[in-house]
Amino acid sequence: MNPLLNTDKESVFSLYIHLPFCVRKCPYCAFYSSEVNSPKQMENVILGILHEAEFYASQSPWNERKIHTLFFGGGTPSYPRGELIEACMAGINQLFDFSENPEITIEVNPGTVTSQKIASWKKAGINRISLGVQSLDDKTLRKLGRIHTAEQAVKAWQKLRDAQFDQYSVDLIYGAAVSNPIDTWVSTLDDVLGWNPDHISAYGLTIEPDTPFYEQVLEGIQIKVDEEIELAQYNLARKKFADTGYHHYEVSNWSKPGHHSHHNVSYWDGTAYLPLGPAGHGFDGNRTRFWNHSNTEMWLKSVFERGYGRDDSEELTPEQQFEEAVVLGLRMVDGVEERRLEEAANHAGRTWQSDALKKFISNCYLLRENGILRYSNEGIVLADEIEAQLTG
Amino acid sequence: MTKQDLIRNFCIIAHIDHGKSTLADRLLELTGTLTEKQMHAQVLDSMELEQERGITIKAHAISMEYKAHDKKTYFLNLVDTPGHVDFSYEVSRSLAAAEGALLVVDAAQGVEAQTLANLYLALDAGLEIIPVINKIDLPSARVEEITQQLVDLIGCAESEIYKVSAKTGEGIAELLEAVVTLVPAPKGESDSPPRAMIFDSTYDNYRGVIAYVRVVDGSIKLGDQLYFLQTGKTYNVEQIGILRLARISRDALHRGEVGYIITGCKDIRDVKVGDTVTEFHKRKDVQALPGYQDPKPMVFSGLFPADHEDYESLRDALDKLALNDASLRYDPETSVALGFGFRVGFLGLLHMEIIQERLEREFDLNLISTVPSVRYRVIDTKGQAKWLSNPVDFPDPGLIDHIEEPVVRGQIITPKEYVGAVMALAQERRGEFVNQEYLDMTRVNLVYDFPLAEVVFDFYDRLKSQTRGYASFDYEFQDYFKARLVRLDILINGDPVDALSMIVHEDKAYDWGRRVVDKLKDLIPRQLYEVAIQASIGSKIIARSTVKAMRKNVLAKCYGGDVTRKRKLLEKQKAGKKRMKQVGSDEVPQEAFLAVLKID
Repeated sequence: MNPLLNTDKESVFSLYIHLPFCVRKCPYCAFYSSEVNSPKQMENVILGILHEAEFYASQSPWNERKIHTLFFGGGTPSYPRGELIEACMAGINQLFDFSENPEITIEVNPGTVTSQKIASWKKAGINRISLGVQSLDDKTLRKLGRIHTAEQAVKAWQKLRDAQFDQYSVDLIYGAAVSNPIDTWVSTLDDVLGWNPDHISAYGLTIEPDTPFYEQVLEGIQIKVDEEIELAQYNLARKKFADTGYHHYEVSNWSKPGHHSHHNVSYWDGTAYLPLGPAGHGFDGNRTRFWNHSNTEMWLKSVFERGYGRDDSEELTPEQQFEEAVVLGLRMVDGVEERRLEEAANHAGRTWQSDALKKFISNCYLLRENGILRYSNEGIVLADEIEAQLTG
Repeated sequence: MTKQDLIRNFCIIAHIDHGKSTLADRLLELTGTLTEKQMHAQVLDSMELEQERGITIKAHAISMEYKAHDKKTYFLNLVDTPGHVDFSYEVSRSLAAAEGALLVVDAAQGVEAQTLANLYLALDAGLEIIPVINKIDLPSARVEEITQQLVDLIGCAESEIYKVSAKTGEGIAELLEAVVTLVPAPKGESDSPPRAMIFDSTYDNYRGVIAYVRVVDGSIKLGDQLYFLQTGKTYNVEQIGILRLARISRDALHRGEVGYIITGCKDIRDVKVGDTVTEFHKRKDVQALPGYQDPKPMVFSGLFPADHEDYESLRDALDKLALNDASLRYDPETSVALGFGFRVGFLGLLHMEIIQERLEREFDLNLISTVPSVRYRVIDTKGQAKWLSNPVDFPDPGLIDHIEEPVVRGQIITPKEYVGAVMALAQERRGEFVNQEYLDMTRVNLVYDFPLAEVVFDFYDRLKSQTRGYASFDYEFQDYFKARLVRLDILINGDPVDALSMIVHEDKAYDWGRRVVDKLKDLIPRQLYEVAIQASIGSKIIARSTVKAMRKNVLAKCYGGDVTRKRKLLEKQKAGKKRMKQVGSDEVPQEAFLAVLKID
């Protein structure tokens, strides 16, 4: 059994709070947020979130379970005034059971950090910081359309570090087309490792539909580096992180032992999670996935009319449950119990032991050990293709 | 004066869009054959596809009654002709059913390649030619110049040319009168045993095969027992009559008349265009009318359903089309790459396109077609000749003495500023220059002999683009000539893809192989391992390209726990895989098979 997985899934849930405010949208980001944010609008959203929280607090299964993790994502949750986060947390605290000492994270943009906000976050009970550094090279930051410089990121890090939160994570992005992509990546990695964060996420730049980058690629503008270079960057990160004592636990995530993101893992291990705020996604821990309106006005309207801002939901078919079991299970670097995949396959009327599986085991893209199936270093970078074949 | 003296059988020959159908409409209207109410634009072209492409594919005939200036009522039979070169045999049979032809030329466009091709056929058939300049109402009409073109072309006097506008009706009355005075009445013996020529046939779901005939000698009567000379079949006349907008039944058809016969025959292959029909008891006394040919497919292509479950539907669809098209040939074919399908023979490229389009449009089939091939003649080392129309059947080169390929004589009419470009194209297509003549100050008729294989393959599109759409092209089969031909194979990771094999001229094999492998490289998606694409002649590799292995394909993150999105990406990827054709252990998208048809 993977020690990272939540053993107590039936009695807890994770809470995701989406704050859809940005100073300026990053051109790669496909998630919902708005650049037009009056203080009044921000207050309304927080009120809406509390309203929605109140609604769910009396609904099963959320009223029967304790909070496992809480995550302020966005958007830019570090953009609104600190008092709003305080007010939000104060309200949530009264509605749900926080007795398990949950991990409470806020995503922070280095361009929005102030001492005042840090004080508020501390007061609000936030114990984990996820700092969106992305790069410590100004050219790369500009290419990525970030609002901050490398220097601001360093300063933000110091300020946050001084405030002594329990845990720190740093987000990085590789794969942007800049000159000397390897050198700038190595120097970013070295600098960040020098900070000694508990946790690092390193994401390959992805061109998502409906983003400015997507349009630019269609126009023939080079946004990403060559695939070979992106792979080299990923491999460099893997090597450096391993050498400095980080454990690779998910495709894009590394942590010091015991410091993995419990929130992130709950997406992969089948823990129930509840979204508050526009565009958030949820899972009831069984077979229902649902999501909120991805438009602030529509979400607000729904919240104040019905109590919650759900847009739609889907009941997973056995086939879809099988697909998810494979995709989510194998995303964990330590692997998944093969027995569970076999059960899901049988439930969907399939046979798990396919020619594709045999092929990937014999060419060592997949490793099988003591009933656990996991990717090799060579396999994990091709996960999407392999999973399409395993479930095809 | 006998009844026969009052009959005029004629046809209209013209280049596409020069106004043949509109002129026919006008004649029908003026003779009162159709009231204005019955008048649909261009009644002779009834199929949707024909109207869209502006060409007449299947010939029909229609009878008109016309009271001439001499106060006599004449019976005018307009025999429609398919305009395109692919159907030149059918055109020749339609022409053989007539005594005269209206040669229609567009007043703005002038003489085009099809005008010439059809004119030569009409002259071969001994028809009286009445030159007509149509569309004189157009602002761009160049009546004087075109008049000169026609004078030069057929050696007529200027005054013999009729200048009309089918659209406005100007000059049509005079033209009708000319049909009566200029077209000879049919000859033929009334006392001889009956002989009629089938110039077309169609299939009717209720009545079976309907034969369109021209009676040459004697009479054919209701109830007669008929004998078909070529097929040796016997059928009774169940219905006989003439053609207006509908069939009008009569007791008999007499010498010189054009009409239809229904016999209850259900197989269109028994009723061959060009065959001679007589009375069964007199079959020993008659000779077949000249000019019959078995329809010979010139172009072959494999047709495969994109979804293998559609194989039965494809067969049903071909069976249905063949009911109405005796020239359509098809045999089951199995391809390693594409599964079960059919090897289909066509009269020419247009015929092929029409059939493919009808299969896709009328029968809702999604098809993959292989590179079209012509029919080669292979003479083996023992001196035996064999036909070869599928690259898969290409014999071991050691057993081949030589190969012959079909050659056509092509007419290309082009504005003179494009002569250089056309010549370059002709050169590229292994054309052999035959002749060049100026039709007038601005237009040139270039005559080349081409290997048919070089013109069936996107030649017309290239010609059009080289000449900004101004050139016209037509061709006629010449003969078989020796050529250095090889089979070019395409291999994917060492596995030959049979559906991509083709027969090419040795000198072009390298260039062609290079272009195909380059194109395929862009079309075959990257896979987990490197994919080698090779072109080979026998065991010799002549070109190679590589699809690099996929190096990184893993979603970096799921925004805000949006697992649904991740799953949809997976499902999309799986759906993409379903559209692939498995070649050995590699996946080749359908587009790859289509794209080799469009290499430039």
